[in-house]
Amino acid sequence: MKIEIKDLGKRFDQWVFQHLNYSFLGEKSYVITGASGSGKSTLLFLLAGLDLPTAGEIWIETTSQKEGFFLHSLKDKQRALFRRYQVGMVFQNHFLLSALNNWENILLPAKIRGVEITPVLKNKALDLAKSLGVADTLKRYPYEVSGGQQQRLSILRAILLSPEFLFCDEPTGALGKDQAEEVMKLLLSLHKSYASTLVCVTHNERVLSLFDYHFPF
Amino acid sequence: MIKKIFLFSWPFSPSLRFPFFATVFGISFALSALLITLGLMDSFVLELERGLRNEVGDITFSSTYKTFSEEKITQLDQIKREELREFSLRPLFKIPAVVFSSQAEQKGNMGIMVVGDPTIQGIVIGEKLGEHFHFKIGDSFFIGLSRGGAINLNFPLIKKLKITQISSFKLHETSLRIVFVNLGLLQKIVGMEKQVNSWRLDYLGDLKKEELRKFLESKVEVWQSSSLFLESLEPSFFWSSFSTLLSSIKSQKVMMGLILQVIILMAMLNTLAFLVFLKSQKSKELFLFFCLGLSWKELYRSLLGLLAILWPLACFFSLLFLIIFEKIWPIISPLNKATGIYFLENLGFHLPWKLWGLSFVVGAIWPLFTAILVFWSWNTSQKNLRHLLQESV
Repeated sequence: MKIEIKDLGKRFDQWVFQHLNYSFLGEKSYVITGASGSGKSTLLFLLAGLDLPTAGEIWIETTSQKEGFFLHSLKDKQRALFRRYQVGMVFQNHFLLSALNNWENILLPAKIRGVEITPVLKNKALDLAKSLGVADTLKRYPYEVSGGQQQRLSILRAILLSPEFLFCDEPTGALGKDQAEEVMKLLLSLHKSYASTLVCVTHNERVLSLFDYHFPF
Repeated sequence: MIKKIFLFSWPFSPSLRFPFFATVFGISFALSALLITLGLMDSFVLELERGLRNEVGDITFSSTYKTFSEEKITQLDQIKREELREFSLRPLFKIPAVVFSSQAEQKGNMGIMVVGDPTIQGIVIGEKLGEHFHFKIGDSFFIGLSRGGAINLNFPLIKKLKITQISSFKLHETSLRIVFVNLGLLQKIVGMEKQVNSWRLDYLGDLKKEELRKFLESKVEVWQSSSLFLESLEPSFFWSSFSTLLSSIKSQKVMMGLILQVIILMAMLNTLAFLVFLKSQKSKELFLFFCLGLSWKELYRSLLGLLAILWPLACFFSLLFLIIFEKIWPIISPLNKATGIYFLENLGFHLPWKLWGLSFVVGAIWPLFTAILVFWSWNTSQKNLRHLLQESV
């Protein structure tokens, strides 16, 4: 597993960043910090295949596809497949669908992948929910649980199908200090358990030491 | 694959079933209400016209001061069979009654027209006249008729008649002032056997109303100039006799249509406002689906899938509601008596086929409009992903 960026640049009205070079290697955790508007989230969206760079290359190697490929040269559909099968995402806002209950929300990626909801998957989801302390909220709706629980549920949704790359954009931004640290530790422990590459954007300097690598922006 | 395409549309989750079917039924009711209102307006006019034609015929020739031999109409039928082959001819005897009274009535008398008609058996009064005098079948009333059939001749003849039938004339309540009597019986009462003062012609052909009007008016000119209808019989067309009523109904129909259109326009603007509101709300959900691995094409397809299921279903249910409204509800409803002549069945409610066609047009145009709006909204979002992402986060 590997993400390598070369001379990466993104321009909207003006250049957000240019000539970025870095490698995100498998099973490691990376934290990206920087000032507001410096392009941290934009970089994350480029790595996740949500957006295309204006300049440079994004080289991806996955365990299932050892030959590797340039993410930026893929078509919309192929990038969608990359996100569907290899990427898990957590945001500052939980993005749980209010029309679905929490159980249906965490199974949403499986529905989109077309994965059969087997008893094995259900048990895995239940075990994860127990370890994240949200097992008793599964029958409820997102608006019926606390902010911390909502964020745990969105982490559970991102990690359930064991993605190779886990991208988190300010995952603890909406939480209090203690809850933030707790959630960050959970994320790190899950990433280790599932052997995924974790790339996390955060402002929280207290958690920097928990990550393997620090990518200052 | 199909399941993926219809991810949003098929209510796979129990939590989505309620909003999905609520939307379907909401649209169905809106469509049904629109069609039913149009149907009612149309039916009202059609029923009124039909009723008036039934009551007075397409064209009536009458004389108010002279009677003619009933034989003449038979001869006329024989002579002009070719020209009048699409008409039924009916001799009538119309006499204004100078007195109409029940023995114990409290409300006062009223002027009544007595109409002798060969198709009537016995003495028939309208429902409203019966209600006014609290009559029921078998009751008797007194009537004062001019002997000889003309008001200014002789002294009135007082007769006691027994009601044999009370009929509902539905919307056209002119029957409030008419007593229908068998022609032969009336002629006998006034001592004018085989005499009539009016002839009624009903058109049996396929001409439409406007064509029939032109045809009849041209014929009347010919008949009068050829002295076919002798002396001073005056022709009267039902659309002329009731022109004020019909034109006021037409104006009412136009006004109702305009009001309805304003209501629909307001509903459309409401929907538009709702969609704009929804767009900002749903952009987060779109973004989530995008992150979870759906491409823009799949999102489009999902929307199409949603529309492809939702709208035909809504159209189907709206038609079902119409059938229930038109066919089933009038049968099972206990409101028939309470609502009287305004009950649908009594109104002769019927949806013309053009309205069924309209429902499909509405069913086609409305989703197209929605689809364009939503696609436009999504396209804008797609082209400016950064904005969407910022909006979402």
